[in-house]
Amino acid sequence: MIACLGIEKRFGEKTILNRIGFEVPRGEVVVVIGPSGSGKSSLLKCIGGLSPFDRGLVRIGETKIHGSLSPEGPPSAATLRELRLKAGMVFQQFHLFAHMTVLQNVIEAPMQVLGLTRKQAKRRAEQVLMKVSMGGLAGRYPASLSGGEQQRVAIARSLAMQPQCVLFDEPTSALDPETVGDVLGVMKELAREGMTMLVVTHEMSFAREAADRVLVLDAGALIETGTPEKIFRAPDHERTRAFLKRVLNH
Amino acid sequence: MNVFHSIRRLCFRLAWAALLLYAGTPSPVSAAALVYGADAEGGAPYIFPDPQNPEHLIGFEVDLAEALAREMGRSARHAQTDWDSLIPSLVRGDFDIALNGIEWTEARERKVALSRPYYIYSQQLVVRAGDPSIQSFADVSGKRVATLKGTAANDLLDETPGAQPVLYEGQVEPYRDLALGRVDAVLLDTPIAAYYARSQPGLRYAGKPLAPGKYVIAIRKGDTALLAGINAAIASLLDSGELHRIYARWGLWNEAQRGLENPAQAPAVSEKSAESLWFFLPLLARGAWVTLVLSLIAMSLAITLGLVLALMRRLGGPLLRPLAVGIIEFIRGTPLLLQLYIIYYGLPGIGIRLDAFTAAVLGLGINYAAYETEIYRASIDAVPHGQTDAALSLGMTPWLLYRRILIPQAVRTALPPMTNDFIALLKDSSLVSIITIVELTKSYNMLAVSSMRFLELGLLTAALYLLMSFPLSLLSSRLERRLAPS
Ligand SMILES: Nc1ncnc2c1ncn2[C@@H]1O[C@H](COP(=O)(O)OP(=O)(O)OP(=O)(O)O)[C@@H](O)[C@H]1O
Ligand SMILES: [Mg+2]
Repeated sequence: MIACLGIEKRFGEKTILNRIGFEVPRGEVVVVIGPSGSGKSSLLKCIGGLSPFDRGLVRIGETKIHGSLSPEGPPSAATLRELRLKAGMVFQQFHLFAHMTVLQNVIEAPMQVLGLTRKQAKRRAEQVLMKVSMGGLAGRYPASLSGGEQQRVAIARSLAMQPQCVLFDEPTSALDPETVGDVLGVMKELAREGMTMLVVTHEMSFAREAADRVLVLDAGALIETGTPEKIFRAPDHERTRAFLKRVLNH
Repeated sequence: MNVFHSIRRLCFRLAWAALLLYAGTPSPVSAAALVYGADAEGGAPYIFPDPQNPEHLIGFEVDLAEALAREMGRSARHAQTDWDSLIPSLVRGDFDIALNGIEWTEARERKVALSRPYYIYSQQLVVRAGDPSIQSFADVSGKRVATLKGTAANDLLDETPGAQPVLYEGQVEPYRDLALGRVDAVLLDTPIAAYYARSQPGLRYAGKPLAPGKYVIAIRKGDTALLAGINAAIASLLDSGELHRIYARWGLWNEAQRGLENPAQAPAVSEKSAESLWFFLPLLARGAWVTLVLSLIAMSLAITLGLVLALMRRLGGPLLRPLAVGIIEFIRGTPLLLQLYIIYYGLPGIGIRLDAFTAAVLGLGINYAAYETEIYRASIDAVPHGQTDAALSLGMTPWLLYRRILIPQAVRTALPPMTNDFIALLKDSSLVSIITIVELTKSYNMLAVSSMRFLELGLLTAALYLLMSFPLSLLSSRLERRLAPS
């Protein structure tokens, strides 16, 4: 479903992503871990079509985009949009549209981008809001919601576009501890339903329960990949061990 | 030898420049110099820069001032002052006398001391040579007649039923606009008509000169010795024939000047100073209405055009983007006054003739558009970047992103500064008076000059401005409070 091949991205002299390659088959859940600044967010933005990269390629379903310095050149605006439509994204800071109610947030893109009627979009919104247990708060504005509630609306908003996969960038790390569980619950349910997911998170419980595989990123490079079992119990790499120790100890 | 010559010339010029500099530094009014206030800006044939040598002022009044000073054993020195401000500046003590085509009126007589007349002028109507519809002043009803603001001709037109006065600050523009067809006739003092219109092809005199009046010199009340000295000097110039020679040199001598010999008879000029303040209110209110309507239309234009420029700058290709930047920088880097001049007086040169109101709306609207664009830019930048990421990841096009996500949020940030800009525009709209629009400040100026009641009318006018801007200030601070981070 998702495939990355030799993704390379630089900012001047600095290499942010160093020849990253992996695949996420349909219906699988892959968790990405790694220290701060290792390039996790950058990787997700490249895959989601929000940030250009220099070399390599990203493929989601049948849609491919190449690095801007690759022989094929950067993708056209249309290809980029096609890719973005296939990959839903959920951000650490939710990024709900502040001037819209919960319902408006969810129906906005289905109506404006997919051309659904208001009625169709609302029906779809009711379903996805129900799924994240936010059906009762459709008329509220984001500012009046807790972080956990906002993040569940953000998940609903991306699901309303019926993407083929969803990319999560630390969806719970900006939340109060008591609301983390609700969001993880929604994500686990989504995983059970067979959604293809690429999740940057340091929630080990989620990785253990829901992930098929774990990728370890360090300084822009993919240093290790394996089942959660293996990565958490017996990582090959010294840096993985050091990182896990830091994360698990606090 | 050539080099030697050049050096000598350079030395001479430096010495001359030093002398000019010295002479130009303000010195206390002394018995040696008779300082006369006059407006040399486009003031031919009264006083104006010599076309051959623009640092040097010439004109029949320059000759007159020098002759008068000579009679009094003094030298003459010019002090530049806008014509409208001559009397207030005189009263304030900026110069000794005001000598600049000042008509004798009762209102002026009350405010300052006036000398015996030194010239008898009339009003001359000038029309386009090819326009047979105006043969004399009797035909001006329903016609747009240009004249100088605050002059006797202005008063005369105000009292002529049906005439539509169009008011100017300088005496070149009325004849130019007449030739361009923006006005139907020009009514101005005979010396001005003689200098600008008599020899201009395409224009002709219509009818005989009318409404004679007298030019006098204004002196501060209480300066009785100076008044006596000036009067004696005028009498002496008259007797010696020097006055005649000066006027003849400028082509201004005519039989009417015989009347200078017995200064007793006083032609009546209109009277506005005795009225109560309420008399002026409707006139000022009309000016305020023009200000308000003009500002509203100009602001709407600025808001729309500003948005277009902002979008060109953000979403435009390699052609539109630099174009938008260029336009914005040009507008912000040049004075509004200059822009108005170019739009109104300059564009006819390439065949674009706008009426004054359209030109004013365009000038103000385009000028403010550049500032609104910057507000939009700052406001759009103030929307968190995550909103863009979220919108794009949902498949929105840049156009949708701006229309549905960024602009609606930016508007909230932009409203308070935009309200402030509207207040600023309301005040800047007073600049359009230079292209003949009679808005509030110009109305004030006209009424104050003719009635000499600068202070009371000024306060009344200020009150009218406040009446318009204060609700906006309230709105702005209300918006600011409502949008403050909660
Ligand atoms: N616009 C940019 N200009 C220069 N460097 C950048 C830019 N954006 C990111 N970087 C650098 O890229 C590297 C990877 O950043 P990224 O945000 O992807 O890391 P991360 O693994 O998501 O970290 P965190 O856990 O803190 O979110 C960092 O070293 C960062 O400083
Ligand atoms: Mg990150």
